[in-house]
Amino acid sequence: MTEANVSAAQSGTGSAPENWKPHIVALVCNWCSYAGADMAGTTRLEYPANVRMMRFPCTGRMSPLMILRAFEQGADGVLISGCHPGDCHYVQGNLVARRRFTIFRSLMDFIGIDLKRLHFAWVSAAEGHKWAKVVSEVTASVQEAGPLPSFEHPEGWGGIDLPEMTGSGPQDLDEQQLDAIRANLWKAASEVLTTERAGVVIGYGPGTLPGQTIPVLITETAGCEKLEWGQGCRNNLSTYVGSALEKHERVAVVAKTCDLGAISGLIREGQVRPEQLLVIGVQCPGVRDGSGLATKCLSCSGDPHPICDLVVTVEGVQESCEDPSAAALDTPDARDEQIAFLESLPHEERWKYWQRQFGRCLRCYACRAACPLCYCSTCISDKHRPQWVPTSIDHPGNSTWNIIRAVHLAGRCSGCDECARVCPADIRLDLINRKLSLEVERQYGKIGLDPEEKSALVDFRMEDSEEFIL
Amino acid sequence: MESSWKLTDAQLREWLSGLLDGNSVVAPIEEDGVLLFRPIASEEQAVVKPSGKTRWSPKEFLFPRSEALYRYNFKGGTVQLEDPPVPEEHQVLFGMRSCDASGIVRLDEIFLSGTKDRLYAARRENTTIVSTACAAADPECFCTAVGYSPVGEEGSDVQLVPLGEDWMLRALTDKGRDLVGDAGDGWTKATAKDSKRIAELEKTVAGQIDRSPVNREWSQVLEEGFEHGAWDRLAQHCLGCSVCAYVCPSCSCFDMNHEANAWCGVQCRSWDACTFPLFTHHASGHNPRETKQERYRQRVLHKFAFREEDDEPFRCVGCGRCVALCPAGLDIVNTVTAAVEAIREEGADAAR
Amino acid sequence: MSRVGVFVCHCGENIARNVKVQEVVESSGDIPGTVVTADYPYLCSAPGQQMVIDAIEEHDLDRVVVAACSPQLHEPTFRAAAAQAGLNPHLCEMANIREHCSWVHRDTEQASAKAYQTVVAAVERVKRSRPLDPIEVPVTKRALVIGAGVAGIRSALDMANAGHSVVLVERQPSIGGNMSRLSETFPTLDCSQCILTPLMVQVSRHPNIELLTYSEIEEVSGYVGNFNVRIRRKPSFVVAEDCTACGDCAEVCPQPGGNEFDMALSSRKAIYIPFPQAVPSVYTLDADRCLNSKLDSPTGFRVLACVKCDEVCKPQCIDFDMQPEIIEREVGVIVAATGFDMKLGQQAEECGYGKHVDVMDGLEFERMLSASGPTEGEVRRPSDGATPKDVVFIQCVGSRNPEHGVSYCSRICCMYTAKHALLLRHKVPESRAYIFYMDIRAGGKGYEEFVHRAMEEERVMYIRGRPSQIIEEDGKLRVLGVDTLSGRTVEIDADMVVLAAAMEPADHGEIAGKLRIAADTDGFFKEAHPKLRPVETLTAGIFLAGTAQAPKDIPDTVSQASAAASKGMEMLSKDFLERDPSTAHVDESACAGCFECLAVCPYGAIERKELLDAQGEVYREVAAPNPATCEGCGLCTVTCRGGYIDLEGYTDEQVFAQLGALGPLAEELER
Repeated sequence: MTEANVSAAQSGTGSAPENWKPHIVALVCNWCSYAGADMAGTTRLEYPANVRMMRFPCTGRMSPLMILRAFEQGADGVLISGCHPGDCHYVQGNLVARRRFTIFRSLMDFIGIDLKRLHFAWVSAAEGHKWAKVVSEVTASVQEAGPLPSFEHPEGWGGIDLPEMTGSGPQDLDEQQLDAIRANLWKAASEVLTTERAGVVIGYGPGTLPGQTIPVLITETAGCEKLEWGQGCRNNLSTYVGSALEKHERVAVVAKTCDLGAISGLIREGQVRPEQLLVIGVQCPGVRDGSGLATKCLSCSGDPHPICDLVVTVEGVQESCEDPSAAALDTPDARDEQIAFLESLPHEERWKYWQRQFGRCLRCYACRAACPLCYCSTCISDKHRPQWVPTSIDHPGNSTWNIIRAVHLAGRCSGCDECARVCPADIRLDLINRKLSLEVERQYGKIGLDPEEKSALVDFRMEDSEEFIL
Repeated sequence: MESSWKLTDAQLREWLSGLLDGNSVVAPIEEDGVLLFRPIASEEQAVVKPSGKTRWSPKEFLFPRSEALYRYNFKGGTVQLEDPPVPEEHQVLFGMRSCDASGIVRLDEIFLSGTKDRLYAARRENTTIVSTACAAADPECFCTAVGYSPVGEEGSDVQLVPLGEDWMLRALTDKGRDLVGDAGDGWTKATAKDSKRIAELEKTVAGQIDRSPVNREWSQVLEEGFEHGAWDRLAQHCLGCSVCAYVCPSCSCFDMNHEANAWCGVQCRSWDACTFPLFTHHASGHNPRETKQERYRQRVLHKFAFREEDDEPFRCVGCGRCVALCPAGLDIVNTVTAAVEAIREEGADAAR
Repeated sequence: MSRVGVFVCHCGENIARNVKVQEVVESSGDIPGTVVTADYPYLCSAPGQQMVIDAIEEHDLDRVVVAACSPQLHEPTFRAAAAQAGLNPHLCEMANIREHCSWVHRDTEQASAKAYQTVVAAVERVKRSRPLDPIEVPVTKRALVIGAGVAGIRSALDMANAGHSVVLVERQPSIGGNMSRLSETFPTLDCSQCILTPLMVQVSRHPNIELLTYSEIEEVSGYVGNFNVRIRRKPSFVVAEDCTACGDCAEVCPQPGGNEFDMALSSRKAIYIPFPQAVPSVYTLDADRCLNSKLDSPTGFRVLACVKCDEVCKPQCIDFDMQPEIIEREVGVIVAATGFDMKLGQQAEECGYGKHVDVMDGLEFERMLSASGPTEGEVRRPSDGATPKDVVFIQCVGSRNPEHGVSYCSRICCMYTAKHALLLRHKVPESRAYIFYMDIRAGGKGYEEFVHRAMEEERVMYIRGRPSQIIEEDGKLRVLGVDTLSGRTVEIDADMVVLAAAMEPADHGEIAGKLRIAADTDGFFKEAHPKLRPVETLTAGIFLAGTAQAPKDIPDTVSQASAAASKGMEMLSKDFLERDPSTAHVDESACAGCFECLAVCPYGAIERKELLDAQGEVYREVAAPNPATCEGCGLCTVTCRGGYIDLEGYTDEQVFAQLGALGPLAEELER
């Protein structure tokens, strides 16, 4: 669907036809900025006519999906304006929104949108002059940025070589050690079922292709000997917890350390209660990706985390009970170099990189299906009234889909990289999600494994940063 | 009447280069480490190998991921309708494997039978298919187990057969012969010995495929065992995405959607998959395939059963992409085999 | 399919000068769904509105767009007109082509293009509007007043006199607040207690007022018209109904300590009455001072080490087993009147407060002046009890000082310092009073005259400048400063120094948090609008009175208290309140129960709702916004990832359609 995605430019970036004028959409809050714009009117100040106004009750009502639709519909720039922090008519709307905008803006930058197109401002009802100034500055800025580049495959572009990702990974486990772990796992799983600590054990069973495992749900003790353990154990089994709970009161799940963030997220967001879950952490040799270790393993020790209920190692099985409020996760960071590299490039290069990637997107939604934290009964992409995410498997819609999924995961993504693993088009979803995790961490601190901790994007502080806000 | 030649790789490349003149040529290329079909601008881009499939099938060049059915706008206060443009340039789909070519024939059976799908038909008529037979199987391949062949001719206008460093080029249809045109004059004719290599290739590849064959009679068993409890077990770990359907050469389902704004709009159709939860969701809220197990069963049966005649081929062409790419590791052949076994052992009515 | 009418206003020349109205009217006719278009010089005029009404009726319109000035100005006007024609007012939308267009863009082409596009967006939006009716909420006919200083007392009395039931909660054992501490009030020099006590007695005797002293607000839940309040009544260990205030218990109590009422200038016993005119006139046993072992036991005190008071109490009204009580009340409106405290910070310390015992703050000096105070109205140096001769008063100690104090002016200090100096001169005729000031703010009625009286009649020495140092030497305090008007340095050997310290709100966020009302950066409760809504908060049903909202004197406090009462009575006089229907709605069939919406809602308007299956078992919890408390900010709509929450009046579909209308125009597509 490209008709609704209009761009005055035919291809490439920055080559504006003569007499081109930018088209800007402004989302403003009723109580402050709309009134401020009214005041600019009553004062008869003059400013460029390129801006189109939309009234909202609050910046808290403004969603990244709206900004994306504005761009999809051909706007060259978007301006968002609201009340100054502390003055929000609804007490805290702009404070929550401020965090959303900060993260969304960093993602747009990462995707290659020239930030000269995306502006945020605080304009109060008394600031008619400021409104006129902001509109003039934003118009000049978007004029400089040029027409919005097309959402399309960059023809004839040579691509980018990302730096190698380095790291050592967990200690190697030989066949004997893996056998020992397997045996201990069988023991642990059987006991869990016999003593009825859980009605089902979700683990890894043998697959068809060499080295492959598949998720299995074991309800009989005899079935426990099917449980596999090794570098083929790639799935994040917490994806299956929700449906298993429909049939069983208590569920045991085999977990690698990289799976734990998702488990604590599910608890934090009320999808599972701690007493419904028994987590079996197992000593992990890392998981294979192609011919080598997966990137996420490069900075992980593989040691099972003590917040698990049971810990299975070469030595045996142990009960464990570490308090999640004290727990932090070994965050994979091998890809930070690649992110830094992309960020060092001019935004036009980044745009081409990501447009090429998103061009391959099939909208198979494997990323969503494999992600434990994508548990919505119907996804925003399935919503038709209105259809925020264009359904056509084509450029603007593909970008919108991938951007909005990343935004929805910001502050929640546990870095298990399942999305990147399952993507049939090899889209570097891991880079996007890691980039936002880094941004959330940098701005608002790290969320650990404690389900009581509030997730960053539903929280706010008066002193949250806002250097980019006019 | 068959026309076959033996070509060096360089000659093949030269021919390919020549095809770019006056045709839109789609061939496998490597993009960010992924082997994909794309329109090429020069022959250097094309990856043409004796074995190895692209990540997904080339069906999108006949049945696009998304296409407009009609457009409209409100200029001047009246509605103005626009038919979508029909591609003018002739298209050559170059370098697909035999299974993919068979997949296209399966799509033809859907889109060209009864009332022809106008858009598909226009593209199909304007397309010539050049397939490459396989010298080796990928780990996930199982074409021979489902009645297909690595050297199958179905769907191909021209077939390239790998002969070591060289190629045998066989023009199988009129379209194929037209595509070869005069170029054939410069090539060495293939010999009977060369042709014998085809059967050898088939045997080699079949030997690499370590799968028991799926019997044609199993279709009926599967259909009779529709309510069997095995279906629940076998797809427990399905995640409900659509990787399998989208990479599949013969899956053809689509949905239609309207995208519009205040000024104009388009009705477009895009790929859809029976594995999605909302696929059979009714406007009333009822969903006849409420569970993912029911949906997966539907997919398996559509590929391996639900045929009008017993001697019709399976709709699954055995490319194995769904097996290799399924995030949860589901294996359709295993599922079929296990289901049949269970149904036969426990009886078709064995409770869920 | 909608039938939309588009009406474009010329607004005389205001719009027509820069916007080609006719072109806009004509082009609007092409917008899908528009069945009639018209223009008029002044649509807001009576004939203009009538045109709209007639068109609605004649053409059977079900949606209306008025392209004119800002909706902030005339949306109510045109919505009322639509309602008159029988159309739901929410089906009338305005397109702002004046303040946002003709008044700010001179280029006619551009302005007209923008105006047209604004109209299209409005049409697209209104086509997706739904008829909405105000939400009716029943009102509990009772008011809660928090704080029983003069503000709380006045508010409570006003409402009670009007016939409404009032619950008045005060955390001290007696009502009266800071005003009861004052000796005389400016500018009349009325005896503070004399004018306040009659009001206090009225409160205690009023049949409509339930007075809960020595009590604190524990929890407030609910919403306007329907608040649930839990009040914690601290145990006084004295049965109030039986206490005769004879004072025998205090005489024998062995535990003296600072008397807070006298700003710790005098002492009181563990069992005490705060001041003689206390209301209620009963004694209170301070658990923190009593020799008996503390609370947290099934009975009142764990160990009774001393029962002297009980032994002499004739009415036998001492109950060591008294427990804190939780009293629950349902109220319709709340007035927050929690008052102020003195703020003694860095600047006060620099002036010697805390170091030299003869340096005191204004409220302490006030107690000293009071006949019922620690010195029975005589001015005495705290150090040696001598009568001071030279007293230095320093204004703006902490106020108007963003770096080391508060940035605001505490408003009453110029007046009470003048009063203090005046009273000092009355009581100690040979004394000399010096006032260091930065400005004199005497804006009230009779205030300027009062200050002049201090200056001219009493010969109080006003020095414009700040003291730089206060050094203690031989029992006197040498104050070194500057008179900026003459340019000369000033040195005064003072016997006492009185500091006009800054006023700060007594509530440090506890009440603000419990009521979920905003406080500004200085901690004062935030009014809904500083000019037009000074006694309301942004939380419907909660009003403000007195110094809790900002520094002010007694006349303003009393005025504000009556204003708050009037606002409260506005609601209490109705059986039902009407609330804006622009509220959030959840698709319960889809809600995943993550409750992140609940986490972001500023009003606690989202509740947890249990969904029951056919057997009556709970199978899921979903979010349920309460339309009565939802204020329509829309935070929840964006937080919800699946998009299951929508906001009436600003629905996703409306926003989506508007965005679709505001992209580059169809004509530009051609290029």
